Amino acid sequence: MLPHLSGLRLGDSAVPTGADGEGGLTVGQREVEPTGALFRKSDPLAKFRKAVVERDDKKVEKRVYAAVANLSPNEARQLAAEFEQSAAKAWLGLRLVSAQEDYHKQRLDNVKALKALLEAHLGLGTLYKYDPNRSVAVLPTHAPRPARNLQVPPLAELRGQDGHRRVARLPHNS
Amino acid sequence: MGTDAWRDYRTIRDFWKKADDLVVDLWHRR
Repeated sequence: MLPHLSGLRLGDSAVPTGADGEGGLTVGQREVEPTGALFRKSDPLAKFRKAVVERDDKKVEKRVYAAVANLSPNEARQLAAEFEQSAAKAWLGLRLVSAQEDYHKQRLDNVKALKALLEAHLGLGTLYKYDPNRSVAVLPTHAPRPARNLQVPPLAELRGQDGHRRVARLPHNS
Repeated sequence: MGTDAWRDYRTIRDFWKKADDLVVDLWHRR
């Protein structure tokens, strides 16, 4: 036993708590352990947010149904507002990233911004499909598809003004 | 871009999964 603890009796606290330096609990006093988080009721909003981004197709429906059953109409509306707000934020983020000069240099940022937008839309879509309170009445408008993000020049530019092909004819093609 | 409503929930989910895969892919390729 350590020398500074040798004088302690069972039930004594190692840290002196009393004014006179005497440790231990008084009669009827309980030691308070920080165990509140273990018994706290889970947050239904957090449960829904987690269920929305479940990747496994087999599990997602079950999880979403369980999460939606816990939601009150008010909470569902709150979630819808939250997803709409993050969608608006993500649109802005996407515009800022795609304004960069080199798309390929910024590709990861671009895809991340797109994912954030799709995640917000997925939340709204999940509420649209599964929420019995109909907190989301219409599906949100399209996010740009990943493949469409590539800058494709219009056809007229490729062909030239006269409408003829500018690509040289290959020997086997002429 | 951004003018039509999504067709259904399933389409949004498919695109979200694609974007998620792409983020992981690009992250590892860096």
